[in-house]
Amino acid sequence: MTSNAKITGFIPYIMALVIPSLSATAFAKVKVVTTIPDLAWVAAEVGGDHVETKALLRGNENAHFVDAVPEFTRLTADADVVCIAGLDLEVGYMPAVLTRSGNAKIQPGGAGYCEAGKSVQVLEKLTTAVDRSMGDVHPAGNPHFYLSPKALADGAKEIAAALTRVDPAHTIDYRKGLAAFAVKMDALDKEIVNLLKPLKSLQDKAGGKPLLIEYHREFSYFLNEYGLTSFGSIEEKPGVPPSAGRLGEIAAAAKAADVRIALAADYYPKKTLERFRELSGIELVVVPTMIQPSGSYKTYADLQRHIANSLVTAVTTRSVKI
Amino acid sequence: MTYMILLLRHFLVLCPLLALALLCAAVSAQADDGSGLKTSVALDLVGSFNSTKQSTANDRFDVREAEFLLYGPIDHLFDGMLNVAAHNEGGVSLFEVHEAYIGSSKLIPRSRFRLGQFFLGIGRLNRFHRHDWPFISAPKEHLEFFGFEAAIDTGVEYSYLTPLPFFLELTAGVTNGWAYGHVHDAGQRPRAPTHYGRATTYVDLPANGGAQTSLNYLSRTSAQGDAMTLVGADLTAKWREAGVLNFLLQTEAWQRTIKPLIGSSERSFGVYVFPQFAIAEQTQLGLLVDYFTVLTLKNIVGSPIANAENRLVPTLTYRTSEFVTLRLAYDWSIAKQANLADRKNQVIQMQATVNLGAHPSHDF
Repeated sequence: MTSNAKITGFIPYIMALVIPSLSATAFAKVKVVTTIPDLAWVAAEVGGDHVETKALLRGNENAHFVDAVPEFTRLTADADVVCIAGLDLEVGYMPAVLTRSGNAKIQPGGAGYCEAGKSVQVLEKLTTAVDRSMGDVHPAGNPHFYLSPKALADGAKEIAAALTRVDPAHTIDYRKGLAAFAVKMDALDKEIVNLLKPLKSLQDKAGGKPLLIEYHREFSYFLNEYGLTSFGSIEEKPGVPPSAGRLGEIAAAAKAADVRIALAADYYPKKTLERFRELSGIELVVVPTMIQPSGSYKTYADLQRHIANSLVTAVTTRSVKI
Repeated sequence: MTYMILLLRHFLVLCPLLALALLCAAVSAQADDGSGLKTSVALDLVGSFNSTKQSTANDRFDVREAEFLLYGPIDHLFDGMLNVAAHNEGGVSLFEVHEAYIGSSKLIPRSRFRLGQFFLGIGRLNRFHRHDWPFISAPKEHLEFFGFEAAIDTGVEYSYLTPLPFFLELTAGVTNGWAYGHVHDAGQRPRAPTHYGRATTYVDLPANGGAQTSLNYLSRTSAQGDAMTLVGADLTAKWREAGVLNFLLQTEAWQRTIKPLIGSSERSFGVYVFPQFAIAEQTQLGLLVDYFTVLTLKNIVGSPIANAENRLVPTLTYRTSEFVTLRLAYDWSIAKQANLADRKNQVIQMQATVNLGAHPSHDF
């Protein structure tokens, strides 16, 4: 057999290997990995059938304090797009996860890297010099934008842009997906406005004085979205657990200001919250702040409704179970 | 005269420290130039005090280590890191480069490597700086097999993340091996350089937990022909809730074999276990249990001699934030050897570690 004949003899085998892999590439879904489950849900809404999504967090963690677990590295190593909330929310673990993944395209600056917070109108952005004596402050602003449907719709623009960069063949579909998502968030926004009407009208009757206090300022976007105001936070400094003295002071101040609800995420220490309730007599509303794919609030709409209903129930019946 | 020597000693240490502090300040001031260079300083203050007359504690509170770290991207492909430290070794302060390397995770898919001087990427404690450990001082086997902080050398290390449906990372490294551990001389050309490997896997555990396990191997043959082999396993399991580390279990077991060119081999074995519970949001209580033995210890007629060193160190840790850690520990140990009197040691230890400036995100 001549050398040419030998080469041509291999062609069917090579074709058999290459064609399936080419077709697999052509129909392969874009693998999107996000930090918080809400962003994975957004990516699925925007990307539709072209994407498969996975969130690193389960939705019951404090997204500020998570370890760079090796499983995160494995998932990001296979990803086409990695999308984080940004605004320093994941600064404690994502840089290590991304570096260890050995995946060049999802490193900051790569086509598959996306920070949803970049498109959001950021609240509480600091204009003064920041240092650690101020606690765990975020100089770029409050990163908990995902609790507002409209802010989340803004963040979705970054996800759509990343999908377009890595999969330009479906640009039109991603644009359509983004537009449909904005409409969906607008409708949800209106629904939650209606749900919160009793609380809003109570606040209006009180001359706009705040009826609630937060444990940590992570509901700012939610409250801002629905015209509600906050008395402040139980924490004296962000990320620093309140001392006994602080608890006493803030409980007395909130009680004196006729605050009705203490709003906290479900991952904060229950003992501290209970102590605040004992000292102030103010009702606690403890809610998840992220979608929990394996928990009770699997969709973003469910989560928004749950938070709104919990608040309204607290001011109308003054009894909400933790 | 003694005071003059002490002053001179402190001056010799403080000069480079001050120079570096000024450099850090200058670098920090330049940090917003778009280069992405970050600076950080870690201070590790440790005191050990007698609790009995037999104690070996030095009865003083000292700066065990002052560490300066500069790191950041070099260009679109490479990152760099420089870590210099002044540390107290046997009462003498030494100022030296601990790590200086370049690395990349962007050149080869699913891979990262580093080239330069670094803490060898094996085991658990050896990969972390001492101020990031969950207890104050090294277990006996770590001290014997790696040094008081870590085995440091210059070479290349490569890690590959396997494309499997579970986490499995393979690491291999080769370094000069002229010296081994943490020594301050150039050493001699070895017959076989230091080479090592590590296979790491990870499993999620219920209730926001996770466990990482590794198998490790290291070998080197010195200039004199002493072939050293280390094999070991490590496990770290964590349960974290809302930023609070509710439970930590960290353990390593190592066996070292030294085969000299002439004579019989020496084998030693050591294991430590460190469980730690959160007793409050910022406070943790742990217990270091340490065991070490020379397996091949023999008397003059060649009969084995039973020997063991046991250590128990209950440790209380308080963190005001991730940047400040305060510790208090009671260090109890006993060394037993057949036909010899037991050697007991009891020490009260305290530690304060602080991190100033940027702090790189942690591994699991």
